[in-house]
Amino acid sequence: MHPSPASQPEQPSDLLTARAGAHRPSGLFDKPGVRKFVRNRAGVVALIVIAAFVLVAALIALPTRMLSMDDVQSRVAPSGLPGLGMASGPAARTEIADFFVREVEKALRASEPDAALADLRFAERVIAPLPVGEVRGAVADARAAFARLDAALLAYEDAQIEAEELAEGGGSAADAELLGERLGAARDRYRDSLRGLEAHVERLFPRPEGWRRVVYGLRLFAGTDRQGRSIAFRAIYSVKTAVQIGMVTAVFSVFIGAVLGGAAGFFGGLVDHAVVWLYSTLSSIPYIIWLVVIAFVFRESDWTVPITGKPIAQTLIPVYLAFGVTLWVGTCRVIRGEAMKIKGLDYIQSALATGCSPARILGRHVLPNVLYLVFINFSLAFVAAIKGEVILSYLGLGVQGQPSWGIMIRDSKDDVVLGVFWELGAATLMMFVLVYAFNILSDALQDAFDPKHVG
Amino acid sequence: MWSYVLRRILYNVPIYLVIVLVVMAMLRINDPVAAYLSKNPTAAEIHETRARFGLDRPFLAQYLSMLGSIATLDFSARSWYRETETVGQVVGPSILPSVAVTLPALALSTFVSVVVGLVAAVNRGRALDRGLMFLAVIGMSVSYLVFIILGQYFGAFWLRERFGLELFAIRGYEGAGEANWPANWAYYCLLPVVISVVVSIGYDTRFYRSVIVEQTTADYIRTARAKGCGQARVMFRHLLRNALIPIITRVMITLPFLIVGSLLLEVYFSIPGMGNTLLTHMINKDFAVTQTIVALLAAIFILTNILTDVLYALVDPRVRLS
Repeated sequence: MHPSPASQPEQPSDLLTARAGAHRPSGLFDKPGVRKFVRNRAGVVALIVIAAFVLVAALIALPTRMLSMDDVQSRVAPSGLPGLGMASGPAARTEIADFFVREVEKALRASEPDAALADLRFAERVIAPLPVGEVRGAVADARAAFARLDAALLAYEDAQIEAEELAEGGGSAADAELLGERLGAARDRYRDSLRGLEAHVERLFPRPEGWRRVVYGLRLFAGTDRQGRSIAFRAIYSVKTAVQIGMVTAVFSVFIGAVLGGAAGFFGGLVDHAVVWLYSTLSSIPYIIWLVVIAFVFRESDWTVPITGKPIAQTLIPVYLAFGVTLWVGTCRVIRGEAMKIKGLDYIQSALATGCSPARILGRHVLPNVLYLVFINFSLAFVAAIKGEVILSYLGLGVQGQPSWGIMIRDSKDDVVLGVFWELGAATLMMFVLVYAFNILSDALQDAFDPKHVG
Repeated sequence: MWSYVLRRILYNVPIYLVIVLVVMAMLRINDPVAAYLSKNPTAAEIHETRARFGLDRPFLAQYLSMLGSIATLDFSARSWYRETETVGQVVGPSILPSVAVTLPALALSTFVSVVVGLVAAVNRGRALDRGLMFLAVIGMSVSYLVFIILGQYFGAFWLRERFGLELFAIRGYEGAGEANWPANWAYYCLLPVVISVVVSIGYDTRFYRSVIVEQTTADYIRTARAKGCGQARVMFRHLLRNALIPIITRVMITLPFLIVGSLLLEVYFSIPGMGNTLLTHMINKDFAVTQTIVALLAAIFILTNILTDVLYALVDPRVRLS
């Protein structure tokens, strides 16, 4: 797949330095597979992308709290706002102004307007600390500005229609010029009244300044969902959910699969029979059915997690269990086959003959030769877990209480009918990048380490 | 041959017995009767319900009666959710809709993937091959649900809104056996089938391509070319025949994933298949139907395993003797 000049044999000068002892002969980068992998640019880029995702997940999960639950679950703007600056048209600006004024009116109608007003905040857009009387005045001004805006819009639309009629009918040049002036004046009036309206809204909700303005811009970068929450921040927070599910599932399933598969292949006999029998039994039921069964067991139970006291049904434990039950089987099969093959090779036989202990043979001679399979299966299990999460979340059996790409895709299916793709697009794009990187990585690993593999 | 078939069956029967045992035990870990009744049932209510559904019998007796009903295909236990019907009456009608989606999807995706894999393998290393494999990885990296959402939107909704073409149903299903069955099938099932094919084509094509590429370097291919066989003869008569074993394995391995996919498709398109029925009844705490469908799905899987082994033996006589 990569017939680049880089795959030519080493330059003589390298050989000389190697002989002179500049390289440690058993260093990590001296292994032919590792060298081949490092030369594969796509694989290295994929590895960097994955590392970046893991870093983001760590920054969210660790006490740094790059994003809080409040960032992803609270309303920041009107619902269904488009992203990428497409909300800058006059209609969208009117809608945003209307949203803020409406929220203030709602707070004013509350039994304790003071408290309700003090609570009014949409992330960086916090209500100005004005006395209630002044707020009422500002709202009244804003409503008056709305009336002016409507009148201006109507006049502008009338002028536009007339201009079209004139263009079709073919009027005189003087008429056209006159009408052009009227049209320009109407447009200016419309723009001015929109600006006036926004000035009133800004009295109520001052625009954030400095870096807070940048953060607010980022929040609205990909628009808002049906509940007015930031799509961009939800999609980023979901990185943590995905990495959490992927890591836990992949680490456990690959560990169990490698240990059982290695033992079965290496020791053979009764151990082999037991392992094969175990995985043929478990894999006779697809994981989705396991999940339905596990959900059936956990949903109505009153079991809690030992330390935190959270009900198990609201944690990710049923999801981990469902993936864990089935995902180790693939790793186990592959490692078992490879271990069986390696066991028959001459160098293992000679190691046995020289009196090496089974532990030494396993750790020193077998493990290094199946390690690349462990990595490949790790990335396959990771991908399977991330993609499985989407399916489970759609069925209502998946993640609870935090955003995930699955939940976002599920929520977006009603928007799609209206031709709105922001939420679906953001979640799909983020997930695509991570899963694509893993797919490229496992291909690169296979290219570099599997001698049988033909590209 | 028959002794081989018998051996495979005897090997799989104990596996199945344990699966049913595990599933039945798991479903009883958390008392299904308490979950089924309202929030705070009295002890008498629980006792009465348990007796009504036969859960007061010893576990071994329940296990044996479950095995008996699977062996005789007689599911006369009452459904807990639709109380007037038996489990058989609930599950029976859901089999055909599932098959109507799953089997065509399997056949079509295998055919298309083998063809595309062959084309890619023949053009190995050229732009066509690279392009196809690039597309395959892209297809593998997008969620199943996204394919379904977009497929439904563009295939059913957008075509209808924009061009007035009412080719596919947005959702729903009408039974077989009516006069316009083929047209009905195309209207209700073709879109889910196409989505299913699109989803699996990425994985399958890559697999079949690598199988075929591996075979092209084999000695017998060189021999065939050396004795003057044409390209078509080498491909179809020599290569594809030897690639059959991995292809069969692949098709059979795909089956449980098809069940996963068809569950999703059935729920999304409101097709009353087995997956949809299982989910509906699970959510409504219908213990009897959940248990039966899981056991049946496992049985289907075990049967396909046996069938795979038999197919191996038919394709490759060496398998029979080992």
